[in-house]
Amino acid sequence: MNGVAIIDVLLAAAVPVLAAAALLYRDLFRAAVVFIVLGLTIALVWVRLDAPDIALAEAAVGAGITGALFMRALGALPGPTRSAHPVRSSRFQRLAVRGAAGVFAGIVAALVAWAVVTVPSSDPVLTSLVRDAAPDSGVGNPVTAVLLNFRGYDTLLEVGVLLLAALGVSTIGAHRHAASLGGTRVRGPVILAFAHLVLPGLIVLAAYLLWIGADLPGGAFQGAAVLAGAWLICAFAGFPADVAPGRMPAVLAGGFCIFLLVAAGMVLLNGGLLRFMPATAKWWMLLIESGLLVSCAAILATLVFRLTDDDRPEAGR
Amino acid sequence: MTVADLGAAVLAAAGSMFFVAGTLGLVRFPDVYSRLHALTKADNVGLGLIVLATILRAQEAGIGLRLAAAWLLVLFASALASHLIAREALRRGIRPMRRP
Amino acid sequence: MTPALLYGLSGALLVAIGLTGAIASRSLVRRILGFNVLGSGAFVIIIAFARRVAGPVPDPVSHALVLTGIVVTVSATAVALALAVRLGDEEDGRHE
Repeated sequence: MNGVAIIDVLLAAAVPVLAAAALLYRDLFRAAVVFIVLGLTIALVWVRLDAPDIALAEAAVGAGITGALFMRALGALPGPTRSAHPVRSSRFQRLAVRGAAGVFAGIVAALVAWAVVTVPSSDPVLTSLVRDAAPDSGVGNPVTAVLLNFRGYDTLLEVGVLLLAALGVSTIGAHRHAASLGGTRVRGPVILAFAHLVLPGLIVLAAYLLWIGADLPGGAFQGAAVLAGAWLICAFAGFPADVAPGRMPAVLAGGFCIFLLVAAGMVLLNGGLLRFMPATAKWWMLLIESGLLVSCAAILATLVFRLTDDDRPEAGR
Repeated sequence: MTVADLGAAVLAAAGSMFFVAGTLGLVRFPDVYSRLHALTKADNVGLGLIVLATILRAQEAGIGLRLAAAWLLVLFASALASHLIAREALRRGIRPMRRP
Repeated sequence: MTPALLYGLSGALLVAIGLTGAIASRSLVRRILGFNVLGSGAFVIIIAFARRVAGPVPDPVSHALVLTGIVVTVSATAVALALAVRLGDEEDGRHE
């Protein structure tokens, strides 16, 4: 990373413009589409900032899954003809609110920008600690080492948060009680053929991302996002590759349980929760990550699919 | 600037032209079907040319193969998406616009 | 002006835009959108700082933090949108 290239200027300029567009477009559907574009552009920013793992995760989860969530939510909300609240405020009031919002945004931008410029650029203590301990972590990719070895607790609880979200969405969103992803509205020969074509490759890609995450950019979450995409395509296509309804809770919670069991096992083996020995660390981490791959994929797919039961075909554009 | 760099620049410029045309069509065309039609030009040919440009500048053949695979996947995905959108539009009764 | 500083400033703008959108919007879905933008802006700033450390490899702790942050953000967004959909019958719907 040497100097500022043209693409850096373009990206740094495009990102706030896209964000403003996403928040200013009247039609929420267009705003959601611009938000997906924003996610992909931020993924490019991650590449330029030497963060390829995050770029993969942002493109798959930040732009893909989040975009799908917004689309699905918008499809279930009442359409433009059913406006419950007529516009009450006067034109002056609206202008005043916009002006105040603009001033507020400007002040916040100035404050944060000043903070960014004046922060002293010294290495955090943790960075040198990680650098010294990295050879003992068992993997070559420092981000994977931090995620699963040095800061394993954070990842364990993060998976717990995912699980809670899946529980929450299933309770709030869907009316059905079946736990699997069956039942869809999008059937057709084209999407079925697409599912046939793409499913094997996506499964291999997910496993590859998991395996390669040990030494190169990749990892369990990126693979899980790809697998979730494959799962969703199959669910929407009516492709008969699904988990039996009774087994789904086990699949959803399995990764977290494996993680917990390994953590507890380390107490017996090595004398501390999630304490790994350099020689065997890689294999325990692989075990945890494999569980996470399937579980997080199921959770992400559940988040999108169970968001709403309420696809109204008439509430359209 | 080597021949490969020059070729890559020309191809990328040509691909960008297709993207500009596709975006213009997306913004200006009157109905869903013609907008889909404009988008496929950007997606297929435009992306193909840009992928060719990056393949010319790739350091090894493996990277070039992966780029081509990415383009192939985008082709399939955009074909699927266009089909689904057009089918849903037909289902909702949006007729293709005819010249008045 | 290093690239990290440039992206840091871009992130600052994102934070401002996201915060303003989250506070000043009428539609619930747009407020959720604003929170996502706010989160993305914070991540950009963190990774821009991570790029500033000495040596070729950027700070991996910040990277892991942001990765966790992205996953938690999508979880929170999913629950928020599910709630928004259930509340949807009393809201303005898809247009502001």
